[in-house]
Amino acid sequence: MYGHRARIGYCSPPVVTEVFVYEFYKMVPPGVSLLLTTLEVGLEYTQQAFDGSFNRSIEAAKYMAGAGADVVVLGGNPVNQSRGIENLPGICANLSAEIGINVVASTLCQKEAMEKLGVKKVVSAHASGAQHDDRHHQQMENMGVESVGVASLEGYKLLGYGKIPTDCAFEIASKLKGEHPEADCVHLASAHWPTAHVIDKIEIELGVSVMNSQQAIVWKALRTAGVTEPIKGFGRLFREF
Amino acid sequence: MTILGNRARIGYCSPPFVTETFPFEFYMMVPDGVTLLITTLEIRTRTKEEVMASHQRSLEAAKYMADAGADVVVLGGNPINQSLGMENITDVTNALAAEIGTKVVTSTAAQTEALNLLGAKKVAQVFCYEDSEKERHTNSMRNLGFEPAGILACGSDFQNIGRLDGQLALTLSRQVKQENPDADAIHLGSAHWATAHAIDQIEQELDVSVMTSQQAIVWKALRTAGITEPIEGFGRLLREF
Repeated sequence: MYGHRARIGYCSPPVVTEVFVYEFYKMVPPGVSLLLTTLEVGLEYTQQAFDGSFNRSIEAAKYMAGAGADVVVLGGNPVNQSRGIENLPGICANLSAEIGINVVASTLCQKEAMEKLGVKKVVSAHASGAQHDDRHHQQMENMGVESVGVASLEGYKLLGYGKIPTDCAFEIASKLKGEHPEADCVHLASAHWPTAHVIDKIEIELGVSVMNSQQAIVWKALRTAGVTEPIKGFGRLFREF
Repeated sequence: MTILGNRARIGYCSPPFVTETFPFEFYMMVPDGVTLLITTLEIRTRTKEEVMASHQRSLEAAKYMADAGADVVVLGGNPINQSLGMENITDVTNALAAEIGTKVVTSTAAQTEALNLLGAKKVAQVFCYEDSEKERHTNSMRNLGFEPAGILACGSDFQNIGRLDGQLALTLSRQVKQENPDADAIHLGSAHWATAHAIDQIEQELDVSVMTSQQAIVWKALRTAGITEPIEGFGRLLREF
């Protein structure tokens, strides 16, 4: 079968998902496949969308386990953190015990990735508009690192993140690092805009570690599924851990 | 300034609640600069209620995809499409396209057109589900306007089609052609089991045309989006039409 090495389940928040799948298949080695369920986050970030997404995630995780997935990722920092970050390990452990396979949450993937990378001070780049800067700042603080700067691209809706030009991630990362030279990590937040292709470039040219949401999710899922070899082209995280 | 889907962005409403094989094969087939926008629908076991709910979620997803800038939207799922009545499918897609301002095609129409272009008359079928679905698949082929000429089932339930052995498409095609030597085409039914890798070999070895549901959908979507060059490796359909 196509996923003869590992079959990775991912509950993807955007009701229409584009970039995650594209970047997944750029990153993973042959023999790894993605089991995907798209959730309920549409044009707006609302509690109703987060609740609907979380419930659909739980159902999807059970179905994925029945289909033979090796690991399930509960996607979406906002969806995850809506349950309380302190509750996530228990939610994952309980669900894992119920369905019989490993369960990880996007938020915990990102937290662990930054711990591995030795991150202390992080700047975050995102695409959901400046009105979400505070949320992104708080999400980083919740993960136990110091958030020293946040900036957003403007003019994009979640379901249209596929229209973000591919050079935007590097440009905003450069701007943030220039404004906050003390940052030792750039976080490219959200797993649904084009970032994978510039991770190495940002790390090399700006002298920082990069953790992007999509990279951290795929990294943690692969390692949990037993795919442990270094993967080149997508940052230190994949190469060294 | 370029985007990942700088040549075409293709929307697909994917019937399985958890979708695995379609995106895998999509990115095997399409040229650089083409991306997939995907929404997973409601089919878990294929009850009538799930089929109806899937159609409704397709209509919502099609609007989101159009708003996100998709060049074409595919309403997936022969059973979902045909539940509208074969005679109504064109009207439904035309009305939806007019409403959302983006081209809309259906899986059923894509497969019908593909078989016509391939010059198929007598179509042998291999599909992934249980034997109990043979009659439905045979009727579905008649609805498309072609003479069924033998049918074999892989025997999987809906949840486990991603686990099917990658050799089944080839070995069962050999068997169905041997049992039905008058067949001039083989249809590998359902877009959600591993078939793309076997298309060329089946055509060359058995001297038939091959139409798989997944191949026909991707072919029709690409051509509708203006991607017209021949694509090698996945049968006559993508190479010659």
